[in-house]
Amino acid sequence: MIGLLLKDLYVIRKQIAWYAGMLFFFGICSLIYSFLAYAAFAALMFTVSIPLAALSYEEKDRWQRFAVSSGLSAKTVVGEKYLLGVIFSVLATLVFFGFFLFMDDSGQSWEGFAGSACLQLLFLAIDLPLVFRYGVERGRMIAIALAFLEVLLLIWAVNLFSNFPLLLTLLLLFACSAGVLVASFFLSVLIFRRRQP
Amino acid sequence: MQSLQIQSLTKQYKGFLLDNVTFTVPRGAVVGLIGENGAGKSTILGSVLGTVHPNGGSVLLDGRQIGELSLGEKQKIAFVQDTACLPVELSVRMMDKVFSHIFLKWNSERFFALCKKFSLPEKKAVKKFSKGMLMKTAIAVALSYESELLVLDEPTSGLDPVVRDEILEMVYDYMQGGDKAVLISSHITSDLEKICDIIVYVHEGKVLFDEEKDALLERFVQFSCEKAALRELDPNCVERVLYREYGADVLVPKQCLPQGFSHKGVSLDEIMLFYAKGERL
Repeated sequence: MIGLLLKDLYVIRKQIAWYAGMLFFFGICSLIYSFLAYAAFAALMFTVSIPLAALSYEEKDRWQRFAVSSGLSAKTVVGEKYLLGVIFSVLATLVFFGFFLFMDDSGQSWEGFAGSACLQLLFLAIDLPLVFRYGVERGRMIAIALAFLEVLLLIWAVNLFSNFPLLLTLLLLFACSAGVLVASFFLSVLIFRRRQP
Repeated sequence: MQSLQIQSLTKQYKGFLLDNVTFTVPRGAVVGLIGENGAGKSTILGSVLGTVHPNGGSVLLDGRQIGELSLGEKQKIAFVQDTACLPVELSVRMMDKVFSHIFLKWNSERFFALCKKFSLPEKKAVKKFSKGMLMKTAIAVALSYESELLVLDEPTSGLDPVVRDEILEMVYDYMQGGDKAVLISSHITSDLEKICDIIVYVHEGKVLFDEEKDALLERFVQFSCEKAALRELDPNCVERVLYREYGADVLVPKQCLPQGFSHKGVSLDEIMLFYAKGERL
């Protein structure tokens, strides 16, 4: 797993720098305009784009053929992409949180913050199985088409928990997103095992 | 002792059937898999490496199913794919760091020694390498961890004779390192004639023959004759006939050579041609 992570970090190092720059730029925009959505959108882009960029290079190089031939299991190969996504989700959320703290009260909303952070996990959970199944190009198109459904799903969840205390709402949102991500991982493993790299 | 056993291997694709393929790769031998493009060579090698899921049959390494091997046991098979499949954004140095975490018995010293031997720059991204350099990198990776079987899928395809010769030298060197085995596929049969002990010929998804190279080359002779002269031949003694504009080329077992025809030996290329395009009498 460490070898695979290291490989991805080397391969997409330029993309990481680019997306990190975008994250800071949109974070500053959020501060200037007191509008959380800019930073939230950049954090989401950061989280989702990193594993997809790595998978796109793997497709070009036919790396997954090499990985399977090396004896690496489907769980390891697939799990590494989820781990990569989660690592960058945590990093993006930390940066996002930094901007969130400096935002004045008019732009701050804990539900909004938690919702944005959970949306990153939801996007990962839906995008990765699609990409493993259909490849990066087609998978990404389908994922974009489904993006509004994911946002609706989250709004529905936020409304569902709105009568609960704030802390419980945040915890429930996170638990649901994490649960969907775990289920998505097993689905991706199943998809990966069935196809021939 | 058998290193690799392929038993009744079957794989169905739309418009192609790999049909009941059986052969073995003994320790201490270089086995060459020959056949036309699309004959099924890569499907067989993919089944060995786990990238192709066969519909039937089994692949055994030292008597155990490939799918049941642990990571360490699976990594006893070193491999070079036809398209290298390496992360080409990386330099050789980066690859060393990555592969030292992927292969349990990775040998960095050996890797850098091989890269030096092949004159591969350490800091340059592999994507900037020529095709020959890329294939050499793939071979350096394959030879830098402890393995007992080396599987090469078209390693010399599209390379110039000098690089091809260097790659074949590496196969020689690999075989010097103990009780190892090599399974190599190629449609450049002249390369295989140089290094193989056993030839497995796959034609349209079936194994047509599986025998020692020297015995195979000794077994057949060919001669040319007028088409009218074919009538005088015993059909049971003729393996294949290639009809030409001027007459016919005939492949026969050496002991069946009819009197009065001047004959010559056959190369693997010619045997392949007779079987692929020739007809029975």
